[in-house]
Amino acid sequence: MVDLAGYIAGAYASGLLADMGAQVVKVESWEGDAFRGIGPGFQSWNRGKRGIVLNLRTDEGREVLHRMVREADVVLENYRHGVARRLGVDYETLREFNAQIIYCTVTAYGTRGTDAETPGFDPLFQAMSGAMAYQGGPGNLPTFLRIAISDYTGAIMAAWGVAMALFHRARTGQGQWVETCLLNSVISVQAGEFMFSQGVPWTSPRVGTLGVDAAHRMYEARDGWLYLACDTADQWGVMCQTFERKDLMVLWPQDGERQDESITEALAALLADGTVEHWVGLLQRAGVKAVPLRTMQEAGSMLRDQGMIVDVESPEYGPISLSGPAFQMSETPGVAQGPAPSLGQHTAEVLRELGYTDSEVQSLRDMKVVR
Amino acid sequence: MSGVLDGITVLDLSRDIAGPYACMLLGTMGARVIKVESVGGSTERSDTRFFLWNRGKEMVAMDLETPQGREVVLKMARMADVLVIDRVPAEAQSLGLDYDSLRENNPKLIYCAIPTYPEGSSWENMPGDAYTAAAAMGLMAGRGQSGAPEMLYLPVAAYGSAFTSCFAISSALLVREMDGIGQKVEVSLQQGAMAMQTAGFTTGQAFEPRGSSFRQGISVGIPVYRLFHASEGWFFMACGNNTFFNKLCIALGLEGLADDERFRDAPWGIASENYDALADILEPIFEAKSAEHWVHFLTEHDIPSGAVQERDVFVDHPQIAVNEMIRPIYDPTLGATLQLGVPVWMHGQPGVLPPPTALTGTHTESVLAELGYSEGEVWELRERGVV
Repeated sequence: MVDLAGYIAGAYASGLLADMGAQVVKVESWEGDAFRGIGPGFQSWNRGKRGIVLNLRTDEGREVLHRMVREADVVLENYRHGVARRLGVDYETLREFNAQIIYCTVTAYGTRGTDAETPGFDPLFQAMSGAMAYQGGPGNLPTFLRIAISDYTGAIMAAWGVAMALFHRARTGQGQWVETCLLNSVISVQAGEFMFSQGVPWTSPRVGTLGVDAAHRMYEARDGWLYLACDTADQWGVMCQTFERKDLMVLWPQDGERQDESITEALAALLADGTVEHWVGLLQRAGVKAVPLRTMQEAGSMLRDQGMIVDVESPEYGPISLSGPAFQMSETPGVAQGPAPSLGQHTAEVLRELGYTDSEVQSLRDMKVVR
Repeated sequence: MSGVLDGITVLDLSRDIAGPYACMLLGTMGARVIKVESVGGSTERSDTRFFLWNRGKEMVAMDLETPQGREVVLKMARMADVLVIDRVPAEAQSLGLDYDSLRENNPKLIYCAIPTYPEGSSWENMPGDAYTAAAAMGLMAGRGQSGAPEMLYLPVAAYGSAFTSCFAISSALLVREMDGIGQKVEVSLQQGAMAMQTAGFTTGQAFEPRGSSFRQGISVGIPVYRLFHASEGWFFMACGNNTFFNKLCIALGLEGLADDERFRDAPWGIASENYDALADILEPIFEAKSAEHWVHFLTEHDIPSGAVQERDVFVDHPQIAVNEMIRPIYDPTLGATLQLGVPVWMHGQPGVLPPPTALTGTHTESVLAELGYSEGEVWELRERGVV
């Protein structure tokens, strides 16, 4: 894969394909990916890639890229719409060098329409699409999710599109242009919430910022928080029995009339009296959905116990740990990734593989075509 | 060929969000999707979102817990290329629907499991959903001001799992096309949450901690990539690279900021001790006029921004019409609806918007006939309440 992408959506898309075993070469501009400054994020989105720096504004730089494309299966880019064409690295140009190439484009708004060239970042789409207002709740201040929902969705969608295009190429020998954008992703990652019926979108009920209702919410135990969920009267009954509080059973809302406050008060008083571990263990053994509210750090320890954390040696940061593949496959298990490349780390190596001699590489360096 | 997954049959044995959504997306790309629902119809039909997740599927109503029902589903699994199931491992096994049982039946099957927690983990058989998975994965604890927990209302774990399942299933189809082998794929909701928060799990001693700053009572982001309060409403301004920051300084007539050593490495290189200083400069400027004004102003100067608004306002964004991302669909159960369009464009084989969700049991007879059941046999299964 030739990865011309930066930032998050494009970079993480090829990172996911690297998880799946693709050999990815990240091509950076002279200044490097603008999101290199986000150290931990950059490492994660660019895991397992090699990296070169190429000045695509020079004929010699484009020549290097064209040689790469001849050997490649996939090109992925997330330039502002129009830039790829100006640089001569758009689909129409590159397929001249490799008719079977799969070319994936990730933009902000798509490549047609008046906003095709408008730049965009994940939080804008969170703001515009209602995600921040929804998380904050009616009448409250907007809440920035701090999870790049549209970037991450765009990345997975792009990786999915590339995988399908490879499948199609295996069946028919044809390459193609695959495209997605943050606007599409921010709707996809709220697809249920964007389901409008009777003119209104689907909306979850809520209690404050702590949950959906008394039976689906966070409660504070003696030493921390837990989340529990009873979806049916049966589960509610099981929970009340588990707590040896049959008196609470009658509180299960009937005919849609929820007695949230009294239920919440009763449960809050009960749960405050024991530890998170005690309650979660008790509820889980009874078959009721319950979990401790873990911090990211605690979740990271759990992932490590499950073998889902990969330790790598970063050329810039030394020993670091990354989350591993988000899928398990019995016959083609994901690849344990390497670190993200430092700027231009593999330039010479990749150029040699393309047939450039050491002196040619040196002269490209001298001409500031590569670094 | 109209869709890139033409000729692929997906058997959807899943419920809730992740599995059904994944199967619907595969259907959008041309796959034939057969969904097994309970005989009386899924209780999830009371949720309007059901009619989004299940568009375009052939609906077979069947009791999986009867021996005859199991026989039917085994025949279906034999003709399927992909099977999606979201039961916990113990339950899948007791139904005879675990991978080892089905592989014997169809060695080239791609079996995609979407449990809440990964198989083999200590919670593998615990009940859960998108919210328990998110809570367990650190998406809710300590998110509010002063470390208060905060519910994450979007079922991000389920969405992440749906998209990642599509990616993994399609990769497995590629492997099968090249090597002729089927396999088991697993994308638990927990892993869906991980995929949607991947950078959050990167750790290393050399990384400097950098938090989002709290201003005006909420977590806003970093100083030039953050939410701002305007005289009316809120907006997000995203100077996601140094060029956009320079454009901002020029647009506001604050060229000095671009050279100020505290801020010149914007956006990511601004030290957190300087966050408030920059916020104190920018906030009064933005407070003076409306969000609408500022979004217009910033757009004119080619600086990315967007107003905080509600979903029902966003659906009128002109680019949504261009991209056909929100489509009017007349659903036989709900009536007039607006629903998700096709999010990934395969320009060689553009997908198709699937027809609306069929009623319970619409395709029971046609699918059973295809499996070789005679009309009399179907009638008998129906009499026994199996279908």
